[in-house]
Amino acid sequence: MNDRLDELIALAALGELTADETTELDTLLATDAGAASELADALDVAATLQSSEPLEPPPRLRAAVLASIASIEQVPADDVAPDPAVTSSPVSLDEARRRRRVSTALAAAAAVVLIAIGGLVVATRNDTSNDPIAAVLDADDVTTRSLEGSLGNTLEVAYSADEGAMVVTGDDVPAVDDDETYQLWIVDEAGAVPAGTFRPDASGHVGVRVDADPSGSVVGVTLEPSGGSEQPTLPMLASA
Amino acid sequence: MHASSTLLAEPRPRGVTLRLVEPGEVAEPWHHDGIRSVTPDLTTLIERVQHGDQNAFAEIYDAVAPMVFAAVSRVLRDPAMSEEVTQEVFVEVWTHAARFDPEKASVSTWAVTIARRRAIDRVRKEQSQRNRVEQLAQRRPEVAPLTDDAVVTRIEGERVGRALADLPPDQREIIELAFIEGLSHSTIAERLGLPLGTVKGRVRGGLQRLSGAMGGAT
Repeated sequence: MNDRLDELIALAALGELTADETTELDTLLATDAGAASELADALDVAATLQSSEPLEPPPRLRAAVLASIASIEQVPADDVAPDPAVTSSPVSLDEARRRRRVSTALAAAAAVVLIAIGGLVVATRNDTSNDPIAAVLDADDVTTRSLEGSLGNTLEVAYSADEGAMVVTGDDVPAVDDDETYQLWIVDEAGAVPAGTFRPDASGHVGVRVDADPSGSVVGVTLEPSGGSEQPTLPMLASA
Repeated sequence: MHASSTLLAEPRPRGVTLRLVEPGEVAEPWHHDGIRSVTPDLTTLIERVQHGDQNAFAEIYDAVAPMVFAAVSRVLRDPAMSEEVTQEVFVEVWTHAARFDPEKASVSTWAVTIARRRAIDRVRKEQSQRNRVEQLAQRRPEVAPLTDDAVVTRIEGERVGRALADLPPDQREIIELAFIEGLSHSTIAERLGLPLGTVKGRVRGGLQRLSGAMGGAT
């Protein structure tokens, strides 16, 4: 044992390791066979002490947790290095990025739920249509709204009941990597329904028509792997 | 978990005292044997969670949520914030289930470790340590089920209870402030007027002694 290892184990048990310290601890663990069990024992005792007076959370929390995980993707095993320090601190930039996305997921999910609550009804139409984008934008009954969020106010949703379709348009939309795509979602209290994917062209322009009715629902945009996802990968980059 | 709700209704005596769980008083099996005893079942469940099984996740939630919520509440005190952070903890358990390694920790220890870290992170985000100390001083008892100056621990078995009682007073004080009161080591240092290194050293020494007394691997 050495003093620095003891200090890092204390900080791990306290939940107060910085990212750098986590890396340092992982390095020490890799070179000291006994260190891992020292850490495991310390965390075990600390957890036992901290849970010595169990506290039943309110039932609504259970419902909220189960609802939120139902729409949050798990980080695949391939992307997750085993966690020597059991502290789940970021081990790479990519992992840190994922963690940020996850940490904001709840806020986004909660916001979506709050916005969507109020007895809204979604009536997604899946009938295909080849009507052009202009038909929606020029329709007599067209209504529009701007999406807001980290994408900036770059996207607008137009909907025409006559056309039975919505159109998402925008300029200066940030480019995405080749293996990524934006995906539209229509969200109500029942969940998020995928509503198509889109990528801006070279000039940042977006124009996509979706045969769906977003009336009374939230329209959201996420960044997804190419081809889109079954469930949104939060956070919502833009919504309204 | 009826034991906890009963406990919460009790007025807390002042002063640092430790009360062991009495025979017949313990309602939850894991009180007897500690966190390790539930490991096998939860480990099986989390393997299913690693494959996206939401039902298995719900079972894990039911098993460890009172521990996680307790650990978070110790640090945060505020019930609404504790609920938020507890939700974050379980989202992390879900999203990072693949990270769980049964050779490194039990599911309970893993979840409670995440809980402590996230709760501490939240404290740091929400307020400076100075505000934290002031808030503790002004805290109303009804929003804080856990004690402040009075440390009354219902310990999960006589082993831990005795072990804690047998710690040297300087280690025991720090251990209780950190893991029963839920204070960060810098807050403890500030409150007691001790160097940070001293606090960390006593945390480490106290945990080592407790682990030895509880029959840990060391």
